[in-house]
Amino acid sequence: MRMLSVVVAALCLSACASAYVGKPYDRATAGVRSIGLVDDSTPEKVSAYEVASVGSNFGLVGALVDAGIQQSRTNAVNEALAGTGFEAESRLEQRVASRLTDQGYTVKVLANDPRNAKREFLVTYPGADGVDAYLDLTVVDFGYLSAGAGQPFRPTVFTNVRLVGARDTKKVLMENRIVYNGMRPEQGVITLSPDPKYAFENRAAMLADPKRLAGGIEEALNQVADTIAQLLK
Amino acid sequence: MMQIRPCALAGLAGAGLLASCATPAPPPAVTAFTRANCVAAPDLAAAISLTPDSKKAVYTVTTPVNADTPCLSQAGGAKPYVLYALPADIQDKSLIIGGLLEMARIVPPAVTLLDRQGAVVRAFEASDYYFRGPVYSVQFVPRAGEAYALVTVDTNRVGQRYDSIAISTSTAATYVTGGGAVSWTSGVDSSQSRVFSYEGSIQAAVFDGDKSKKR
Repeated sequence: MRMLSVVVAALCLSACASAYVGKPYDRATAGVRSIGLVDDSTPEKVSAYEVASVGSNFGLVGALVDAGIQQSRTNAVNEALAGTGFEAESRLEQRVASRLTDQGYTVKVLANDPRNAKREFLVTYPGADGVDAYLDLTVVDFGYLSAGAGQPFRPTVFTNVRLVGARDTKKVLMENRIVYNGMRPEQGVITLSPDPKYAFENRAAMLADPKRLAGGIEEALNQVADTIAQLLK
Repeated sequence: MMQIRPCALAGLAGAGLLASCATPAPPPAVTAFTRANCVAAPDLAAAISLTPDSKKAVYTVTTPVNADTPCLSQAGGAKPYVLYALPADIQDKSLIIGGLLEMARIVPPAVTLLDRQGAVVRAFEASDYYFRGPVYSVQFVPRAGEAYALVTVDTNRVGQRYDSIAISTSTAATYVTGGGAVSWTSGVDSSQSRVFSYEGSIQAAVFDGDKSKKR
């Protein structure tokens, strides 16, 4: 359902031809040396969504059948990934922290309550001693996405990220949206093309190779993490 | 008198129709640059304004780069350039400037910011460029003293390929007897390949924080 919302939003936004307005970071004037990385960066489960499915073309009844097929696929993919021991959230946070440390920042991963169901930015931040800014990184959805029936499933990640001042959390120092393999490029959104190595013909192909399935998501999250670090260079 | 057989006539008519409907080939990549009339410094007086006539949330200017585009003679060789005059009021403004994806090519941009006298005050590294939508670009907030954005070509990338995968959907409608219509939406997953080129299009977008609604 979350992926459906992301896809519908992406299609609507591109149809409206409006632009996403991010905010670039200016390290020279920001005065940030220490960053608190907000916890709960990824959803608990991955998605495995087919956009223009056969069922979606058959009205309400088709949509109901389609919802069942999408849910069944998603469950199966999550079960397959569970068997590999893949843990997305900690890997993403470690990758971001490692890259930022390489760039001269001191990074502390915070402990905070889970985000709301829409996975929006936090409204209030956990008090953390000694940090100059909070890096609020929220993957709204991730997993595998197919454009439609008969098209391959490829890794996808939809991320919002912002850096806010620790003393004044209303002060946004950087804000961006990063989409790895999204539906149509949207003006202003950082658009990452998927690695063709991780394409799966269908559900059966995904379930047949859980290790490569996890590898595709990890590669996508790494690309997003490296982009976030680069934006704070 | 020449006789024309009916089938030949039909063939000619068909060929004519096909020719009139044929999609022209997209402009090709240009990977060599051999102009002799290049100048040492950009013409500041000819800068393209990025200040809209009235306040806009997003103001976009697209500039073709072709054989008529002025060029600079620099240490790395001659290259075309586009010069933009940054908005006079930089309060709450951010900009995205870069090469626009065309069907077969893209200009690899090299953006530097100049002061009022044309001296370089800020340059961006190759790692600062990302695809923001269809524009291979840098994003920045202008600082006091920055007056122009000079866009030239990153000659190291000219001739290289940019391969990508694009996904979308396509809806086709079929009209049936009796007046109804049936639509069918299918997925599109296409591998694309472009070549970095001296010619193509540069796009500059100015985002006004005062006028924009965050989503």
